[in-house]
Amino acid sequence: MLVFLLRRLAGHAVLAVLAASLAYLLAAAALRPRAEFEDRSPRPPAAVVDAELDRLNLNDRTPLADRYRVWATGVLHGDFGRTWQGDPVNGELGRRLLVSLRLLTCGAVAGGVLGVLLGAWAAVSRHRATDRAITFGSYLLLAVPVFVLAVLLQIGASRVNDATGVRLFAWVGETGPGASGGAFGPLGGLGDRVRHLLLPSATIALAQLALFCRYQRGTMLDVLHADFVRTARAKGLRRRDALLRHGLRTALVPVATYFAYTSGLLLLGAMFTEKIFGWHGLGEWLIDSITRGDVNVVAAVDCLAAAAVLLAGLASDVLQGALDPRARAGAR
Amino acid sequence: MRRRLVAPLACAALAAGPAGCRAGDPAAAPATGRVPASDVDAAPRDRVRAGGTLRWPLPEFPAQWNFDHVNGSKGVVDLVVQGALPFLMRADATGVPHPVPEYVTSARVTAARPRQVVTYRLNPRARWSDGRPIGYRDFAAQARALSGRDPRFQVATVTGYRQVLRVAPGRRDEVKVTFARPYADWRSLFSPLYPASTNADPRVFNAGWLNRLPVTAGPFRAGPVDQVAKTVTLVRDPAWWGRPAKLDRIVFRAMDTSAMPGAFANGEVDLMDIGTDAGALRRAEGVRGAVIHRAGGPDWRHFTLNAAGPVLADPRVRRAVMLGIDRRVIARSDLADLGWPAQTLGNHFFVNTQEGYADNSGGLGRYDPAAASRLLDAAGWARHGRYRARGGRVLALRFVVPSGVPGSRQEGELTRALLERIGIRVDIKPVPTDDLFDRYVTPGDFDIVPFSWLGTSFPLSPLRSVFVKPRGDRIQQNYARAGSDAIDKAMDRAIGEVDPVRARTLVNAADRLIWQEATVLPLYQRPQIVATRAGLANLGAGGFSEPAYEDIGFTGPAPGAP
Repeated sequence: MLVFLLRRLAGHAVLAVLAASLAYLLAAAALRPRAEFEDRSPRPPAAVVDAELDRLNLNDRTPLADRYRVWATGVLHGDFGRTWQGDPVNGELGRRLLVSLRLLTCGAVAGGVLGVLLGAWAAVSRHRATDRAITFGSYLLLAVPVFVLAVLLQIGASRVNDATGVRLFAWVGETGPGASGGAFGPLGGLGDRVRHLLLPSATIALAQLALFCRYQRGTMLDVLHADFVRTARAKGLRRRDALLRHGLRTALVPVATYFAYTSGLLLLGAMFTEKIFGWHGLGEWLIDSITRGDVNVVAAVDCLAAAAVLLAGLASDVLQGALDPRARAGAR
Repeated sequence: MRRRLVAPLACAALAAGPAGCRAGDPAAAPATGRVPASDVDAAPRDRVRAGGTLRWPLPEFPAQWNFDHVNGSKGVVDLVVQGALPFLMRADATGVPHPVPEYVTSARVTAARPRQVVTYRLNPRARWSDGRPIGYRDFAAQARALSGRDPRFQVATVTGYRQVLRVAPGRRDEVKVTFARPYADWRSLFSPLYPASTNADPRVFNAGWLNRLPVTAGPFRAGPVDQVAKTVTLVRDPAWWGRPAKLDRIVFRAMDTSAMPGAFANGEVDLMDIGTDAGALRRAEGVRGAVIHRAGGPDWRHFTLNAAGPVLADPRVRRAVMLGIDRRVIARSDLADLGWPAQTLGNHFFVNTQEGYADNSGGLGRYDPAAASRLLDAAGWARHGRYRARGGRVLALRFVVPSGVPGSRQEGELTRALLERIGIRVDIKPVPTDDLFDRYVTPGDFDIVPFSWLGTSFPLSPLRSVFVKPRGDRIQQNYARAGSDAIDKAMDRAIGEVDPVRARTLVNAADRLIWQEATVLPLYQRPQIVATRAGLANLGAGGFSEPAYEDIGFTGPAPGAP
């Protein structure tokens, strides 16, 4: 298993370097930071613009190969360069990664687990009212764009706040100013964080849930009538035990792979949630940087995304090994 | 001069920060027209409660807090440092600047010949937070740093400072600034004023204000800058020598404009700039206790006609297009559901509520399809069926709109319908918003394009580059690609006139020449619409006026939330 994983890891590293380089070259060739500088109000002197672009390694009049060399040398030394504002990319990347993780972890896990359970339940009670209700609900959620969902949740939550007279829900950023300085001290700060997490987590969970529910229902239906489930029943297991122990576990294998890969992409895909709830995570940063032509940031975030997807792939291999007895047998 | 593209969103411009006015100023009376110049809940200081936290959303979070640095020259930076740094001049609601007595007790032109000299009499109590008095050294360092003579300073602009010949101490508490050439907009200089301790050394100028505000001198001093939550806090400065700030602190918090309506609805921010987003306005109106302020803003919407194009090179055709477009129809459509009267704009420099505004449109501001048809007939474009043609060529214009900006698309559709009546075909060409200037407007690949110019209290210096005659490829920001020596001369005369009243007359003379050129069709002054929580005083939609931060505060009982 270890050799298998190491070999996979080496292959992934080559892929990551390729992906990162391509991302930089694409961003540097397609984005136009000069336009962003020349659009400043008022328009800065031309010499200043050139000097600033040179300093940030963003000057489109420098050959792309030279810019790439400077960037790649920096990255090899662990330095992703500077943002268009002159701030180091590294520090901001770390801060934003943590924000994204804090925002996504609860929602993604809750959405995944609930989705799997609902999907399995729908499969088991196929063609009955429960199945229809779950199917209808998940299609409805899939059809609603995330930003509409988020605003609907906000409107509902402010109704609740108004009705109860208690600020149960708050949703701008991670904390309100001065929360931990209140009567409850640090505990108040923690409560404030939880309160701020409720709605964005719900948004992410609902979007995840709908997808996973559909996938799980599909894979579960495949195994319901598989031989090994029937064998388990024949051994004398009750239907519920047979389905849970043998059916669900096998049906989870493809869904787990899917979960691992999407969580890598979720890191960047949560931009709508981040923007609407005022969290300053990676997705928002990537989109804003593309609009501004901030090449170094785009390249750095893409590097991170490449690494995340590959790590997710690795995690899915491990998960698969744990879930699927055949994979373990094959690797040995 | 910056152009604004995205009509329905509140952009990162000066207008992102609603401005208030000093309590007791007679600012509410509009200079001209029907629209209010300013709408803030003006309250005398004794009615404003001492204490409280104001939560103020920003559309972006700057890293560079030096407004004079190329990366710091933004509306959001200006908005924050107005509470913490010296601004020698503050405009009133009609855009007329006045000295701020906490910093300068007077500022006058004391000599015009042989050179213009401006004498500032400083408030002797004015001090930086590091204990040093504000003095001529600060003026001299800023003038030198922004003169453009030392390339190590990464400056945003050298406008005005380039003309400064020398800064010298006068008699007690006086600073004398001598200009090489007469400069009418001298009141725009030294606002904000940064200390010599950070302006003297280019390294400190470039990097000393990254993610921090090291020195202040205002009613508030810098509190923590939180780079995770993207907040910056100003706290009341006990060392402030003026009237003490009413608020304990102001927390500026960056969030996407799409997050602001929800944040305001839930009471997590105390005000919100609505821009011209009717959806956000509806949501804000539904919030209990919200007050909507409306005033004429500094920005204006217009169509630029490309006079270098094959058809529009003929001024008769340009005039016909202007006469054939009913500006009231477009203004009504753009401003629908905003509770704001559609009033057309008849000036390229001043907006309706600004001191000096005059409608110079003459005959061209009217909707007159009959006159337009006559002009087109005279230019040889005769009707053949629906459209006019000349020499086998149909009279057709490309109207470029940034896609994804619904307002622009409507403007295009209305223009098409209006110009079809006089036999001009309009082809609407939607282009990606990011490509609009790079690929279409700057290279001249368009016939008509709609966008907004951001206005200021000092319109002439920045707008000069929009109307100056192009020299070969160097068009500056004159996207219409037409101009004349007469216009250039008229603008230069106005820039060199030190007397404000005479200067406004000269600006209007230049504007009349620009109308005759028929290249830029002003549509309307954009409204400034700001929602505030009830009880927030001395802040709202200020028009041109900037708030005195020490007077902002809450009236009535303390709000429930911290």
